[in-house]
Amino acid sequence: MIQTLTPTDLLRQLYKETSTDEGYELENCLLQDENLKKEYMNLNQVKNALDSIQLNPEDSTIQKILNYSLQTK
Amino acid sequence: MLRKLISDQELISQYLTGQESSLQELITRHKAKVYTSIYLLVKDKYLAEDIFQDTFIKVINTLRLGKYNEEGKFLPWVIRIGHNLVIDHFRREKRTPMITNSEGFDIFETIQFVDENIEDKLLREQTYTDLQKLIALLPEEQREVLIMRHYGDLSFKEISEITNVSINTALGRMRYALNNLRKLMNRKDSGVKISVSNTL
Repeated sequence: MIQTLTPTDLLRQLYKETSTDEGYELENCLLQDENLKKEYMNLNQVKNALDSIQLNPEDSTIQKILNYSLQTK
Repeated sequence: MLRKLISDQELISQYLTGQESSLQELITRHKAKVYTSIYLLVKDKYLAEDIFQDTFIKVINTLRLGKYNEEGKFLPWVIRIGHNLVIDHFRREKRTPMITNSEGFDIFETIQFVDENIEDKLLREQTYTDLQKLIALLPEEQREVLIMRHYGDLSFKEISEITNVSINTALGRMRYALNNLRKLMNRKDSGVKISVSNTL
């Protein structure tokens, strides 16, 4: 149980590191506290933006790894 | 389709019995997160490619030696290997990473996308570039936590252990990182100067 809600609890919730009970408690708090809700939405906004970055290595790099695995079998 | 239902642990077992395709599946499954986390730390495409390659070579060697015991936590383990290789590199170089001029290479040549018109593509590419540059502006300890949590899927507890700080410190750094990014994103849109906070 979360005794006193802190902004770091919001982070744990955002990244799914809260228990089920903590999650329900947080959701109730968010419904009742506009400032908390605003902070959560701000954090979520940035998290969503971070999700948009997805870079990939070159296929040639991956092939080198696979070749290494085959050659050193 | 069936491949997606197979756990990382099962793929590792298959690979160790000689199925090379299982290694390929593991790499395909996790390459974006591993590469993105390395790239955001080193900010150099070519270096990121090298470290990515070295990371998975180390993964292969460790698996074959029977020293892998991270059941169910393959990605965080790989991310830690990559992170340690980045640290080793900069220790050898004895410098902190500088931003590489993106005009020298096209980082977006590695991004895959489908059915996008030119305007959407340009807007998306600009957003990626801008956000990556903003991440590079974060204080190092905030950037490190952000990359490990968001792209590396490490828990805050794992991050605290790796970085030798309390879990509350790791959480605090992440909170600062996200709030500072939001300020930077808003500043960029409005043209207003805002300083980045780097104290806990």
